[in-house]
Parts: sequence; C-alpha cells; structure tokens
Amino acid sequence: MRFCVLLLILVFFVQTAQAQKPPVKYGDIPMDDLKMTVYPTDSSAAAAVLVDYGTAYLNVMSSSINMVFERHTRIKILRKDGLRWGDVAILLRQAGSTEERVSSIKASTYNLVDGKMVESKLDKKGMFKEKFNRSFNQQKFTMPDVKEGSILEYSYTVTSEFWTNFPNWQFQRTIPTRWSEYWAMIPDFFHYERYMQGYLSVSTNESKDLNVNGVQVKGHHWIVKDAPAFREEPYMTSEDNYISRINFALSYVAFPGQPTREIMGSWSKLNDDLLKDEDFGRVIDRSGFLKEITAQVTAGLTEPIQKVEAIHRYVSQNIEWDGTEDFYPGDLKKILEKKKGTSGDINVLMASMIDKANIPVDMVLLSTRSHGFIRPAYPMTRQFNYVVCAVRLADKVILLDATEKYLPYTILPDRCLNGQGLVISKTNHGWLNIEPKAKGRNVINVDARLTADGSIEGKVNFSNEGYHALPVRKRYHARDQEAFVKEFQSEKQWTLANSEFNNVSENDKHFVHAHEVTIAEHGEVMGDAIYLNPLITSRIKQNPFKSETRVYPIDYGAPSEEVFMCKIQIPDGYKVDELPKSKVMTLPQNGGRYVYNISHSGSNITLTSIFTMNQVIVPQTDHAVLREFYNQVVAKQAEQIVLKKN
Amino acid sequence: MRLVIASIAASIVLNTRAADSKYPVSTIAPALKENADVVIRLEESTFKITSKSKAVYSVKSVYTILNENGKRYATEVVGYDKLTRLNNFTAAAYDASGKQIKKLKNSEFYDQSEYDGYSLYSDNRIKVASLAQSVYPYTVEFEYELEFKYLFHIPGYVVLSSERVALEKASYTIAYPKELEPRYRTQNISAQPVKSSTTEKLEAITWNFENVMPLKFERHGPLREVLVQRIYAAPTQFSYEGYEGNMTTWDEFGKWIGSLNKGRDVLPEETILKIKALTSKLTTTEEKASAIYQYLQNKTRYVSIQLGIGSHQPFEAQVVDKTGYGDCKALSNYTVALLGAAGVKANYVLIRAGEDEAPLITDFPSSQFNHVVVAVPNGADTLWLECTSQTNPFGYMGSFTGNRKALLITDGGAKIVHTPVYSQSQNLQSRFAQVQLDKAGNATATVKTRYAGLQYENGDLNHFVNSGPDDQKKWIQNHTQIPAFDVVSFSVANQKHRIPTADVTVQLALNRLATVSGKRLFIVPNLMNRSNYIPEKSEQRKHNVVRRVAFTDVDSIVYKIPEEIYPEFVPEGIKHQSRFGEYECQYKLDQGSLIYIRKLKMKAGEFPPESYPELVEFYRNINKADNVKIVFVTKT
Repeated sequence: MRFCVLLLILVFFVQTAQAQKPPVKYGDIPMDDLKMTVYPTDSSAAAAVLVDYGTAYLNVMSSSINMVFERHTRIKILRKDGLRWGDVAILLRQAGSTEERVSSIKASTYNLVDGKMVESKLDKKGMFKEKFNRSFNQQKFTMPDVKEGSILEYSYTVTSEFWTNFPNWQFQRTIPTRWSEYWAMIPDFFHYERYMQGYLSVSTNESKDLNVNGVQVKGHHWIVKDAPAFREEPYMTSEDNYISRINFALSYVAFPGQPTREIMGSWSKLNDDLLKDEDFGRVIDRSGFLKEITAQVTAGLTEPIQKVEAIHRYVSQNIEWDGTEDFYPGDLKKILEKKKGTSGDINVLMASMIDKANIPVDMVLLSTRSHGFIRPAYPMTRQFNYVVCAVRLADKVILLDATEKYLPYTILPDRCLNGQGLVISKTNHGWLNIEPKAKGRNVINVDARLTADGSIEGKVNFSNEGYHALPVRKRYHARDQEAFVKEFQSEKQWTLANSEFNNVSENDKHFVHAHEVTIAEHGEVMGDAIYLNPLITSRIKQNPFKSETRVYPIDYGAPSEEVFMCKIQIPDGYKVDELPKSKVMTLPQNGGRYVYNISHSGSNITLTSIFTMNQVIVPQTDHAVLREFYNQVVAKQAEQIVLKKN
Repeated sequence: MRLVIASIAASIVLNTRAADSKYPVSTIAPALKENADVVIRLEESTFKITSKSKAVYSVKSVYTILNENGKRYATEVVGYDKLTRLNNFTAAAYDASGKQIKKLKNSEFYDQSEYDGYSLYSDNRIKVASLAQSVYPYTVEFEYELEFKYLFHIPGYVVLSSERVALEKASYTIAYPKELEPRYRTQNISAQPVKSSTTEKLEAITWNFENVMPLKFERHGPLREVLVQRIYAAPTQFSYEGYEGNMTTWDEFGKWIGSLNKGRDVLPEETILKIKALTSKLTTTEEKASAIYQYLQNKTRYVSIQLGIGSHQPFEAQVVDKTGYGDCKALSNYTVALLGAAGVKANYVLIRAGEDEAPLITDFPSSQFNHVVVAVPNGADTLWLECTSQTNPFGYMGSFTGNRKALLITDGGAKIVHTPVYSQSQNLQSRFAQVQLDKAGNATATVKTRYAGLQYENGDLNHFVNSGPDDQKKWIQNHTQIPAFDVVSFSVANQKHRIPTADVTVQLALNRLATVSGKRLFIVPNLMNRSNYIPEKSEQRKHNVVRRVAFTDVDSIVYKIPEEIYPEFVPEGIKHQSRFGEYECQYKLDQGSLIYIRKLKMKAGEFPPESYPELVEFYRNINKADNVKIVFVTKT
C-alpha cells in the first residue's frame, strides 16, 4: 500500500515516558560480570549480551510526528572470537531528504586491571557515518580497548520520521542474551498490531496505561531472560522464522475529533484496497494493450486450460526473472519490452494476459520460505513478498508462477512452499493452502551384468521428476548435451556411451536420460568371492543429521522420493551365496518410508529401493527418530551381496 | 592495505558506425563463438598520466553475451573513492542485430559503499550498471572514466581472464609526459608496444590484440594468474597525497613506504616501561618476541579503516596503544615499535596474502601487496609474526602468508624475502584409533588425531581450536568421515608452537559400523580417511601438473574383534609409488585384533604435462585401496 502519511496538526509533546525503570544504570558494572570468564549457561559463548534495553515512543509535535528509539546495550566479551562484537553498526533509513538520525552516542569499554575497573571511552575517531545506498545510511563505531574479558556498553538514540515503521525488537542473537527488555510507548491515537514470534518464553508481557505530560500512552512491555544463542541448523527456512522477536504494524490512527484512519484494517479491507489499488489490482484491468499479444499466443486454442498453459509458457520463456521477490508490478508495457522483471512484474503480467483471454484469474499473495511464515492474525501487506496467480477451472484451482523457465506450469517454485497464500479477489477472497503439487522424485532403472572382474556393464535410465527435474534441466540448458554427459560421468566416475535424452525442453514431462554404462571394479573380487553392492548409485552415504540434538523444526519444503530399480546378471560360474534381507522401515504417521526389496532367480538379481519422505515439516521433537531412520537407511544401503564361485 | 580494484578497459575515439546498428552479432567470426559464452567485441583502455599526482583512466568495453553462462558480463562494477572520481559512466544494450534496446538512466545505476567483508570503514564505493537481458545473444557497452588525484598504481590489462570468453579486438594504452615515463612488464605476451604521441603532446605506448580464442585451464595446473596474457604497468616518479616517491627499484619503493611510516613508531613512556618489564628477564630474541607477540594478541584486535593515504600508511603506534585496534599496517607498525622498546630489531613486511595468490613479480617493483606482517631477524633464522590475529601461533605463517616472496622494508630501502615453507613431514595428520567391534557389527572407538603444520588448518581447525565446546563438536561432526556416528565425548588440545599442532581426541559410538549380510560382516578397515576423489581424465594435457602443498597422513587403526567371528579373507597390503608421492597400507591380524596402517605422503612441486595420467592413476589406486573391505564370518 503506497500512501502518503498525512501529518496532523496537533499540539502534544510526549517526553520520554519515565514510568518504566531501566534494568541497569550506565557505567554501573557489577564486579561479578567483569570477573566472569565463562557464561554460566553456555560455555561455548564467544560473547554474551548482558543487557539489551530499548524504549521506543512517538513524539507528536505541532508539525510532525517523531519516533524516538533509545537503546542501551551491555556485552561481555568471553573469547577472542567474540572481539568482533566491538564493532557496532546502526542501520538508518533514508528517503530523499528525510533521514533517521542518531544522537547521544555514548560508549565505553570496561576492563579489569589489577582488580580494578578501568573505563575507556569511545572518542570521535572511532565513529563513522556512511552512506550505504539510496535507502540506507549506517552509523558505525568501534569500541576502544576490547579484549577477552572486556565489557562493552553503549547507548544511543535514533530519531525518525518514518513512524509507520515502529521498531521491532529482537530478543535473541547469535550469542546468548541474559536480559532483553523492550518498552513500546504508544499514544492512544496510534494503534499498532503486535505479534511475537519465535520459540523463547517471555517472562514479562504487560501493557500499562500511563499518563505522560497529559497524553494517554499505552506502555507495552516485554522481558526475555536467559535467551540462548541462536544457532543455525540444516534444513531450516529463513533464520527470520525461528528467532524470537516482537513485531509491530500500524493498524489505524484515531486523533481526537477526527475520523479514524484505517491503515491495516482487516484482510477483507486489505483485499478491497489492493483490488482498487492503481498499482496492483487496477493494473490488470487497465492492461488492454495485452489483448493483441494474448490473442497471438492463444491462437488456435479452444480449451481454457490450453490457453493458460500457452500464456504461462509465453511469459516464462520470454520474460526473465531478475531474482527480486515482490508483489507489486511495474509498468507492464516496459516489462514486456525489457523482457525482464521481478516476481510481481512477471506474475501480474501473466495474470493480465490470462484475463485478456477471458479466463477468470486472481492474484495470490505469498511469503516465500526465506521471508518467513505468515501470521494470519495480522492483516498487513508487509507479511507478503511474492505473488502468484490462481486460475479456477472446473472447480479446480491452479496456481501459476512464471519466474522459472524450466518448471511445468502446474508446479510452483519451492520458494513458494511456505504455508498459506491470500487470494485477492472480488469473489474468491480468502486463504489458500499452498501445498506442493509435486514431489521431487528420481527414478533410476538399471539393467546390467556383472563381469568376473567386478565391473558393471549395462544400461541405466534416469528420470528426474517434479522439483528434481528443475536443477537437472537448468544444468542441461546451461551448456550442451556433451558437456552434461561429461560432467555427469566424471561426477559418478562412470564411463558412459550412446547417451539419449528425452523431454529436455518439455517442462511438464519427466527429464529422461539413458546411457550405456560401464563401472570399472564396482564389485570387489576377493579370492573366489565377489562382494557387490547392488545400489550402484542413489545411495545415502552419510546421515545428514550429524548433531544428536535439534532445537528447531526440520523443513524439507517439498516431499521427495528416490526410486532405484536394478536387474543384475551375475557372471557365469558364480552363485549367490548371501543376499541382504528385504526390509521395510517407516517413520511414524507415514512421514517417511524406506523399502529395500531384493531377490534372485537363476543368475539374475533384482532390487527395488525406494526412499520416500512424505512429511515436509518434521517437529524438532521427532528429530531423534528421523536421525535413527537415516542411520538405518545408510546401513541398509551399504549392504553387500556375496557371490561365490561354483 | 586495501586490494586495489583493477578495472579493465577504456575509451578513445569510438568508431563512428551507423548509430542505429552497432556491433551486430552476425559480424563475429564463427571460430570466436565456438567454445565461448561471451565475445569481447572491444576493450579499449587508456591510462593517461598528466602529472606526478594526476592520471585519467578511460575504459570502453563491449561484450556480446551469447548465452546464460555469460550473464555476469552484463553487469559492470566500478570502484571509486575520495581520491578517485568516477566520470561519464554510461551503459547501453543492443540486440543481436545491433539495435539499441536499453540505455541506463542516471537513476538506474546502483551506488553503494563497498562492503568487502572485513573493513569497518573505508571510503571505497562501487557503482553498478546492470544490463542483463533474457533474449540471447545481446551486446552490452560500458564506458567510464576514473580520474585519479594521485599516481601510484596503474591498472594493467589482462587479455582474457576466464574460460569460454573470446576476444575480437582490444587495445591498452599508457600515455605520459616524457619525464614521467612509466615502466611495464608483460607476461605471456611477446609483441612490443607501438609508440606514438598524442595531440596533447604526450608519449604513448599501445598494445593491440585481435581474435584471441578462449582459454582453457586445467585442474592441478599452474595458477590462472600465471597462465594468462597480461600487462603490468607502474609509474616511476609518483605522488600520493603529498608523499612523493619513485618505484624503479624495490629499494626506492621501500624508501617511500619508510617515509609513510616515519615517526609513527613512538610509544607512550608507560608502554615502553611495561614492555621493558615484560622482557627484561628474558634472554633470547625468540623469548622476547614471543612475550611481546602474546602481549599484542591480548591487547589488540583487527579493525580495518581505510581512508585516502590510510590505505598505505599505518595509524601511529600510540593510537593503536590507546584504542587497542588497527588494521594490518597499524598493528604491524605497532608490533615493530613494541619490539623496538625491548631492544629487538624487527621489520615491516609487505606481502600478498591469501591462499592460491599469484606470486610476487620480483623483477617489477610496483604495488603488488594487500597485507603486512612483521619479520624479526633471529641470527640465521627469522621469526614471522601475523599481527592481525589474536590466536595465530607465534611464528606461524600458514596458508594465508606462508611459502611466498614478500618485501621486507629496511632502514635504507627494501629486500625480497621468502616466508616459511612447511615440509612433507611437518604437515602431518597422524591418527591412532582403537575400535571395539561386537558381533552384531556395532562398535565403539577412541580416535586420537594430531593435525600439524598446514594440516592444523584442515577445515578451519585453526579457528575451531579457539572456539567453545559446542562449535568444536560441530567441527568434529562435520569432519568425521564415517557414515553414521555419535560423538560420546571429545577433547581438543591446541599447541601454539612455531609449527602448531592440534590434538583432537574423540569417543565415538558407531552403530552398524560393519555391514551384516547373513553370516558375514563387512568392514572397510580404513575407518575415516578414505579418498574418493579421482581427477578427471584428460586426453591432451597442456600445462604442467602443480602440487602446492606437501603433506603426510598416517592412520593406525586397531580393531578388537569379538571371538565369535573370524576373517574370511584378509587383503594383501598395498604399496603405490609415483612421482607425486607414495601410498602404503597394511593389514595385520594379531591375537584377536586387526591392525590397519595407512600412510600417504604427497610431494609438492611442478611436474611435466605428460605426468598427468600418472596422477589420475595414482589417485585411482589410492581410491581403490582405501575402500577395500575385510569380511568376517560368524563361527557357527
């Protein structure tokens, strides 16, 4: 929503609300903290935030509204790899000549020297203001005399006219935080929605009515104690989804004697606003110039679904995605000319063309995996960063995205698989579950014979399906067939011949390639025995979950499946002495499954190995089970067939 | 010291072709397009020296991008700063026929402070022009001019720097007043420059290049920097923010650096007394240097601030003393001053740091450095100090600064020195493991591994030895090459010797270490040091095979075998010898134990191209030997 903030003429002046009591006084450093050498609850911590205290309030003056944010932080340096916490950067917004300003920077380093505390103050030489780019400046400073054992303390004030962006507060960092406290002081005429995210428990969460210099102020107050360090784990989406934070969003402004100005309202209001928005909903209505090109693209097609597919193909093949995730389109004419655009440009263009083909289409707002989960309780557009289209044909909803050249029209890129989407529509407004319409699936078929020297010779057929087809197609089209084969065989250390490819450009079909293959010395010849692992490829060789513990849920994005089937003919003069046992393993609630099915008849051995992961999000409490499942799969897949000479 | 941004190419007078059709793709010779993603249609760069302290560098580049892989050429990034003005930056794109399809407006250039990942603050900025299109082929054209308010570094020219790029036409010119004739040195270029004079009565030398086919680099070959065709250039007389100098010899260059550092080594009296007290009881230079190095590591930290001449001139020692921080120049200068206070003579040393950096061109005195260290003469020996790290072992020059030529600044000039090289036996990874196997194939193991010399840096171990236990555990989890394991307990001991060592001891629970098939148990005796890399085969090897680091790996693994099983087959020991090194593994059965010993010694050096198949074969043999299984059978 791009609206200008109207400044209202009101004569109020809010001083820093004194109702709240800061947890510590600047310069008042407890000896115990100075003497601390190891952080009690995390012996690994390179540094620890002892106190992080913030207050933010709105100053309503006769001609402007200012937001004032004050912060007071104290950090203990515990190890040398924590010294970098001595460099501080404050990001400041800028738009045109309006910029956020920092004032009252105060910073000191405290060291224990011969049992006494010595303070070193930051001087001007250690401060730097930097223009980062058009939208941001940075105030940086570097603390003096920082060593192992130092305590750093700094406080500063940021004054801002961007008061619709009320500062969020993060309770957790990559080092542990002993005390994190935030006061948001908001005069009663401003209503911000607030939501807490993350996995930490909050020890204080209260709201108080306060009267500051005659102005009614609501003081919201949070304290989080003993927050552990945030550490990344494999199979996570955005770090932003997991970290503990309080978020603010301006809902409405109600000045006395004036009508309430809705800013956030409800989802249905947001829907209506977006539909009416000249820069969003109206773009589709106004794009008459697309009629001609749409007619060309859909010429000769009768079925709506065919038209949709053709338009998707046209847009995805001709307009390049520039990597930007957004939902507002720019000027569609220009985008068509430039043949390049953001997700908003591309998908609104596609929707406009579908609309010109007289097929009802709606936009669906999303938040991508790297952008974070949507919280449906808070109707605000900034929860979204992406848009796709929804077409309803014969009561079926098809979601479309044209940013990827090599995905079929029925599949959304996996960055979109992040829960729900909001349908913006006159008739179909509401939430939609964005479910993966496809698996990532590989199917490998081998028909080969084993030679007496342990080599494998035969045919191998790969079919890469759904999400798994995308990287393979990208790789194929990045070069040519020859380079693809060369790279493929050198990766696998196979020798390939007579390679054949199918559906390399038919995105809606499986990417198929078949080769004649020779794998030298795959089996081990030892005396009169040959040991052979029949899984000549597609093995999970290492458990991906190395750590015994897990703090956050595991998020795979989309379900996946690896199917390996082979028929191997054993050399003349040998018989099967030992065959691994067939086995089926499952995760609870059919979350995952592994099937290993092996048999032999005459001189032929057949194996089917199917690894399926259905569950997309595995809660951290199931991590141990999942890790053990992988352990067992890794072990099963390592098993050998023993052949003996007759 | 900041890395000077070398930008390529320039604008002289441009060819006045029909304005509506420029650089049509159809005129490119087919041979140039073969094996190329990008064809450089034109690269013209001119570096014009106008005085001892002024120069203008103008660049014009035109690239035809044939497919998606050449996309990076559609973006031009130009660096500038307070002393280097960026003028007349233009960018335009043309379709295959040569019709202009895009010309960037001023507002479409992106401007940002340069974030190099390590500087806290510098005045370096970048301006970015992005012209990527989605329909291939297309052509992009960039022009800009950099106005230098100093003379020190002359951007050279690299004819082609990456694979799959061909060149149609290029020229590189240096123009100069007679009395300021610059120097140059070429690499892999035999042609002599053409001399001329400009309208402004300047002398000029120009190299022209035409129709150059794409390069092909090879794995395990010489560094790319050494293989490319390149022109280096440098001034003779120069002036940089009032500091005048001459760089015709290393001595002159050294004198100039000396003039920047002059008077910056003054320490507060209090610190001098502290250093004297700290070192007075110590007798040898090494002891004193070691004590001072420790003092430095505990007192300071690395903060990079680069402004103007501050890219080459250190903060004063007393500033570092007061604030406790500085960059490589400031901290090295400070260290030299501290050593001086203890009566230890030390030198400031300019170096090109980084793994796989091109070697210093010793016969061409010029600014080729990005880092500073300190050398302490110690009789016949030299002690080397990396002053920006709080954890680096005393005297250790690892992969960042070791084994290379550097420039040691002396009182009257400078001299070329070589930093330490660690030998095959010093770069040692030695492991002893005891594995207790049960009849179900499960095991427990105690593994002790010593990482020494450059192997102390394996997987950034040199960093993790200083981390907390959680991070150390992660390192162990990520560097234990066993399919599935649990870390029961561990310890890490760090010995900060001149050749540092780290001892990592781990207790592992290894469920299903052995694969059980019916009555048989399979074990790969090589517990956790299996090679699975084989270099790609190559039909025609062109370049030498280069191995940069010599090392030794020793693994001794003792398996306690349960009574219920016996080996069906014990493989023979294997030995492989090649000019690149030697490999040996042995299997021994001894009173219920299986002892496996593996030794791999790799040499460093340069070997002729025809030795490449031998390298592939050597790796293949190691690979095979490392994955050999032993089979046990249940006694029933």
